[in-house]
Amino acid sequence: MTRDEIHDGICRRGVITLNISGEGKEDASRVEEKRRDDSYQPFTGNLNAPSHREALRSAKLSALHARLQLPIKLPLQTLARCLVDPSVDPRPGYNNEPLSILGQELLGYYTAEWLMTKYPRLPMPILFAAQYAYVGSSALSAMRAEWGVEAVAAPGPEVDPGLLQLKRQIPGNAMAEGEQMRIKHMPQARRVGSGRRNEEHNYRRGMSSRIVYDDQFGDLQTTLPVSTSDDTSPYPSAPISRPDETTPFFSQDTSSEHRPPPSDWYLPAQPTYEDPTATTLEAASATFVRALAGALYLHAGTPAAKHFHTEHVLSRHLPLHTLFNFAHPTRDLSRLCAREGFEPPVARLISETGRLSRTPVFVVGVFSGNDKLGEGAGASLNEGRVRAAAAALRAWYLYSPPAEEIMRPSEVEGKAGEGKKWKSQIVDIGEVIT
Amino acid sequence: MVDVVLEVEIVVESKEVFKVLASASAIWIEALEHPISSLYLTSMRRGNGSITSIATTHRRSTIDHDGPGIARRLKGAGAFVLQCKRLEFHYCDWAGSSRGMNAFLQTKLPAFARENPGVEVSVSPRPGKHPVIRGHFINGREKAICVRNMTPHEILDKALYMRSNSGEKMNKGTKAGRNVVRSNNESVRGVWDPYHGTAFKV
Repeated sequence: MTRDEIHDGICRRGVITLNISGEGKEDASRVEEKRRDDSYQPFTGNLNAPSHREALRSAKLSALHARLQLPIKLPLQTLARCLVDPSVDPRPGYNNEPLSILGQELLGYYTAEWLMTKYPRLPMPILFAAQYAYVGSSALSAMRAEWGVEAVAAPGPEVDPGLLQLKRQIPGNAMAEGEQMRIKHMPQARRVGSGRRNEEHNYRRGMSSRIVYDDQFGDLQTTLPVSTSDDTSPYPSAPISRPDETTPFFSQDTSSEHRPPPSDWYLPAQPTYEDPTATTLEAASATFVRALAGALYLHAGTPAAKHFHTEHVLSRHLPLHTLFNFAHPTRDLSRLCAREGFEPPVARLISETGRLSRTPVFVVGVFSGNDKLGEGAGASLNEGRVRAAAAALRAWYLYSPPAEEIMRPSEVEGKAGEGKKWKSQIVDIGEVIT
Repeated sequence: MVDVVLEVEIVVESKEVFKVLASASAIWIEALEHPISSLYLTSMRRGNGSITSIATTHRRSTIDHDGPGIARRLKGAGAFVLQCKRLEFHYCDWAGSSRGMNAFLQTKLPAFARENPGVEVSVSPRPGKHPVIRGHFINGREKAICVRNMTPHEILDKALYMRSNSGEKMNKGTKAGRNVVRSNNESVRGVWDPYHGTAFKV
């Protein structure tokens, strides 16, 4: 095999790139690709990302596809699209934003159901923190780095489509041009909204409002438009009805037949792509990983998406007991015992050493009747008691049912007639409120 | 005393909401006639969506978490990801030390690349220099092996070595560089200290 033949031998996965230019004959796949591209409508704006036509020729991209053991059903073009951040290509048909929205919901759903069935008594703040630790942007960004996906230094149509395409934000510590101030100290022209009502008043964010208004990690949304006083939607995802639009879903005319909506009814009539805002590497990495999960779901179905989630998300290790931080563990524990009908907790000294020395150690257990709920060691009697109560609370909240009893809702989703029966799962009444 | 209202509600998105239209090479998601799709369309427009809504109400929680920790990757658990991401083969058309490399590129490299699809292979000339295999690894490091005067078979061995390598620094001499086994879990026995346990007599 000569070098030219190597150059032409672009197989689906093992692509070899040569820096020497060989006069290669066009193979069948490229001819077909050209034929298909006849219907392609070129983007009249300033194209900032490589064309999707380059995807089949990228060695980086096919190597990434193979390295992640992605199914054959997921084409390279879609993988390339997953790598295009909205900050370089604002067109929703070409960037990864629609895929990432789907992927974010899928990853969030699979993680939440896993956490809630495995640890049914997790308090809400811990659930939020665990959710962030598994599928939050920093975890997904670490995942991108562990896959060996590199990001472009600067976006452009000539870069390899196997790189993460993003337009980087100018660091806040950089000096603003022509000013004596840093970027982060400059007055911001663009405000972001959180989707909350009356957000200009900075009301306290309690746990209930975090659940209702904020994102799946209980953090403030940052991508929504700033709310004005009255026209805020009741919750972030709610459809906004406009009386002047006659859409089939919200049509007042009930006598007419139900018509299918046009495919692009949700797009504005004249698409105007504003100058996309720059992003950070962490945000773009998370968007890429989420888009990949969404693309897997669309191309290869639920099993592939769940397999991806199990292999890449649930295989990670999170010490859940470190997420707890009790303010008043002894009080919480006595409330818990009263709620559950246990005898009130009593702290007893189990063993001690060096009471009169500089470094005494007291091992204290909290008992409810004859049952030891928890044990802790401390340098004083009180410290041991508090640690023991915290250990008891941690043991209560981190209870996990037997593995054979755990069943996730997605396991029986759409499998009604296949013999798999849903086992009811424990639903706890919630954490102790004191 | 306890008034906790817990509602757990998981709304599962059905697959019928989306139809994939693959045309040319781009993919559009088209909403079908489905009541939930309106929710999705809004969420697509506004950059936010909610399939999973978990609602619970309570007055106040004393439990808080310290900052955002993230779940760490465990070695050997989950998906296997090959650590070598790119191999560069450099050759020279003129120099005699590249004779084996040139034969390797023509005879063995295509099969090697086909068998290792997860590694990006690039071949480029380096005139007047010895042939080199350079590997780039996921941890950001790179390793280079000079393969002058080697036979194609020996070069294949080096390429396989590079493919299987983790990219970690080989440091067997110093104590800090030695491969130390580190655990994610805290020690069962705790850290030894001189003030506890049996008394230490000087």
